[in-house]
Amino acid sequence: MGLVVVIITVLFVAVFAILNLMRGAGAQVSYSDAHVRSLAIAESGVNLLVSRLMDATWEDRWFRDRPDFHGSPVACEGGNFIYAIQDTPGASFTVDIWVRGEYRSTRRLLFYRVKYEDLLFKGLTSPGFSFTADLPETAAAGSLAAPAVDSLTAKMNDLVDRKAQTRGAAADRWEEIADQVNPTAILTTLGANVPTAGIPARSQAPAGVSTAVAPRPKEPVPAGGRSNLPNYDKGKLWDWIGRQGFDSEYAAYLHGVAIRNFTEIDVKSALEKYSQAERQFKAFLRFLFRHALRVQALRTQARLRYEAACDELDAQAASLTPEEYQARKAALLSAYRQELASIVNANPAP
Amino acid sequence: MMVAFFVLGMLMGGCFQLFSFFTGKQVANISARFQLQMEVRRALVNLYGEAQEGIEVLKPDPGSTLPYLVLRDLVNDLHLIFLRKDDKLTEKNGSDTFRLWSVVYNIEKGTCREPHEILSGIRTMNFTAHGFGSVVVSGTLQEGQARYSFLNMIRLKNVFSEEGK
Repeated sequence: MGLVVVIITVLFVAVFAILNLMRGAGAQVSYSDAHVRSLAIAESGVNLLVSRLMDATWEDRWFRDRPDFHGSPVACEGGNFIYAIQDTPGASFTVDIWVRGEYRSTRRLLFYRVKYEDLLFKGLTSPGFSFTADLPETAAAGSLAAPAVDSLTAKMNDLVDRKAQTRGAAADRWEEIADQVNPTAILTTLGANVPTAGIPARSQAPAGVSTAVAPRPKEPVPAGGRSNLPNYDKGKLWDWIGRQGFDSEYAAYLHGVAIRNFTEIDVKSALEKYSQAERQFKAFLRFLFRHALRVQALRTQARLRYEAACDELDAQAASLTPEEYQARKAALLSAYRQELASIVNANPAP
Repeated sequence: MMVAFFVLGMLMGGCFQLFSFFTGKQVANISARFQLQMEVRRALVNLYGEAQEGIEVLKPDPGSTLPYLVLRDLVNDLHLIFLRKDDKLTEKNGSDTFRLWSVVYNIEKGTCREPHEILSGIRTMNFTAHGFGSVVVSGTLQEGQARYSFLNMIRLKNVFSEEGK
């Protein structure tokens, strides 16, 4: 009888142990599965919202008057998602989308900053995602309503700023290692604290098939798949400057600035200092597109004020002696010239 | 009664031994493969976490395949994902076996974070890039005699984030 009890006990313990082990293995698979599913659910939510956004004109977006904090779960693929969508604070034609996908107990929170496209086909097939982030599960725990979303938006803005600030540094660092073909050399260059023995640099391949990789030629660093330097077209820029209606004096100034910048960009490109050339090109474009037109507007306002003052002076000419008239006219011209110079000096070209 | 239980126990034990003899190898093989599959799924989730927020694939160059991956993430930090030979597993398996590691270079501080392991028991692993915006990951895991191969593509979601700037 004792033997039977022992056998049954051993069998019971063995079965229990096996079931427990299987449950542990199953839990890992379930976690991976739930993670991928919650991500897919959140992505589906983003796509639905982007489709709805692009479906209407910018003025007719459904959250124009107030953000849409949709806290009630939308069923999707065996799970659900909630979302928040609002205009990007301080930006036009840009939308912030937050979607939290949930599958069983796993949650993923996705952030997408989307540039509104006024072209339905392009908007739907290739939406302009200007920034995306996948937040950890801890960040996905809270609700997607006003104070929480504001805090999350501030975090995203910090990341966007950090990205903008470090772009040049990344390009410079990458230029140092772009032509390395050995990960050991890259690790050493980056100063990683990793034992470098036994790190393969080539892919395994059948005998007779070479997997040797030639060093990458030094070329402009791609930014998001492409560099700005391929867009470096002097002819187009001359054409653009000519079409903006700059007054002749400021147009001459811009021509001088353009020639100087083009020469420096060409020299830097010839010396393979592509990141420096790209940065200068970007700065020059930023000056042209953001400052030059505004400077011209200020100059035009100054000219209109000067012309109005001259007209007023002409109206009073009969009561003035010729010398007084000439002196006041010269003073007006001098003040006008000084104002023009101060406007240009306040917006210096790179 | 006891004799009957004893005989029944002996019979059950014998049957179990016979069952184990005929199915043991297959069961062991299936279990090992199941284990490898789980490992791959877990590692792919980690790899997605490393790569999917990236802006661009820096290595391999488009059109080439390498056993390592360098990418720029959403804040321009550089991620280097590479293999390193595991001597113990190499000896155990009788063929070169690697572990997959990741190092992140913080571009702001100019320093690397401590490397962390993503996957072990790798017989081969390759990263293939067809462009700057995605990477195909392929590989084979080995555990004893069991092998499990996988193929996956990771698309970088911030690839368009610098367009037009």
